Amino acid sequence: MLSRQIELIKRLTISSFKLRNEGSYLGVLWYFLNPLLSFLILYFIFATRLGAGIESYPFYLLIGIIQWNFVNLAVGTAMKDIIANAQLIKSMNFSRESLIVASVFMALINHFFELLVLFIFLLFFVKLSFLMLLFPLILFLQFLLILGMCFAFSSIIIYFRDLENIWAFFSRLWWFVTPVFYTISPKTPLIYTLNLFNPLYYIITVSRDILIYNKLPAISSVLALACFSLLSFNLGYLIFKKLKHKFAEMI
Amino acid sequence: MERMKERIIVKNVSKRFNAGFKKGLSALSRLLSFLSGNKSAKVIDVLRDVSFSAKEGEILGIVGKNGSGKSTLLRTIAGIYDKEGGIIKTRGKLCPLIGLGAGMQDRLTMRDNIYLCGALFGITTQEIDKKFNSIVEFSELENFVDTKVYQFSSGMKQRLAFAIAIHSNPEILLVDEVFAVGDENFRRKSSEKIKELVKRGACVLLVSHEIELIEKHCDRAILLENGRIIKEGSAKDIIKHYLKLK
Repeated sequence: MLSRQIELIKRLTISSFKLRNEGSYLGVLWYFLNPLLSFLILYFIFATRLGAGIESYPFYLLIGIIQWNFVNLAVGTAMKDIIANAQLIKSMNFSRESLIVASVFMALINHFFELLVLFIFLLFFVKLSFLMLLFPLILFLQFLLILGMCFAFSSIIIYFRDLENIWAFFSRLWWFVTPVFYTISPKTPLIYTLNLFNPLYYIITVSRDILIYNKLPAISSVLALACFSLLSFNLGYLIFKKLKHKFAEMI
Repeated sequence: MERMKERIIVKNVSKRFNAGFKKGLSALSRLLSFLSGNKSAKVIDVLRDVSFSAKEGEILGIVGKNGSGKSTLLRTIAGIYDKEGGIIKTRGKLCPLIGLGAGMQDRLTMRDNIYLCGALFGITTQEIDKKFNSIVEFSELENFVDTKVYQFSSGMKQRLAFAIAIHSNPEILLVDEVFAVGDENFRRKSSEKIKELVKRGACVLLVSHEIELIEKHCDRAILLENGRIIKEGSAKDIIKHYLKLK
């Protein structure tokens, strides 16, 4: 049963990956171009302003963009999975979870391409260190966090369609609150306090510490991230499991 | 001994839908209808105390008017809908043919779609590798294996979907109005294929408004009205009854 489910997830992931490139001339090249283009825009706007005092600002910015993209792409896609596959859900009894997991994997593949860009640059400009071996752990926690959000949102949206609009607004807010292209310190108390409750803040900070600053990340940050991730995954899956039996009737 | 041969046992199954709030209603209109005191948490009993069974090698017809609960019954047996009460037991690989081609992606090639839909029907990749040629041959679409499905006619798509479904080695087929797809030639082929499966011990539940189809393929049938089985018996009797209902 489980192996069938894995097989299905694999197949759905491959399909959505192919669908994303379908009919595009540059195809996979967009996976590299996307982060680079948004990087260039933000870099030219902020390098001499908000980024002026930040050490290795180009990398600081690129990591922020890449980590943000993963969350944004996965949640934006997976949230609509159940609605988009209404016909399928009404006519077959396959594991509904597979759809969501496949979307997150699709975003993960996209994320790997973006990370590849990052690591190529890191290879040239930053000394590689053993600390970077911690990165897979961060990636794993990030994956759990995202998966939980996707489970929760994709099922809640069936009952509460406004979630799509709310997310459109909230994701923009989240982007600006998270120190992607600027830096925060306790001197700006409001935004600093907000970020203590922002799992993405921990993901980005810890990634920067281990990838560019060759610095052991604060244990408290890693722990906070782990708590957020586990909470998100468990809560999200619980909601999904509770609501999934009604999907076919509600869509 | 006889009991062992049963593929589907449905006992006292009920299913109700909440029809109070329309789906996709916005918060504002919900609030308005709530404030107007018209809470209308209306429930519709789609299935009431339905019991029947179907055996190996049997094609059981299900007839009834629109809204009598036929499709809901199939979906409940397939596990797509949750039942409110009762017991449903099935034995063997279940294959719903409800909305044919629902999992198909128009922008992918036929080859990709065979693997995708195959996985949805629970066929492993290795199995599909083995059956690939047979699926293509059955669908009679040999020349279009690497064509994207959006260029297919709807008949071609249905043929493909049917070919994939039938290759999942189903032992229980739940067929909703899609028994015969494609042209006359393909219809004959697909009903022959289903009969072959039935001969090997599969069981088919056939929902259709086409009386001739039920008459031709089923020995036994049940008649649904307002979610209840009002008659069960030989297909001929049931059809007579059904026609009188109108």
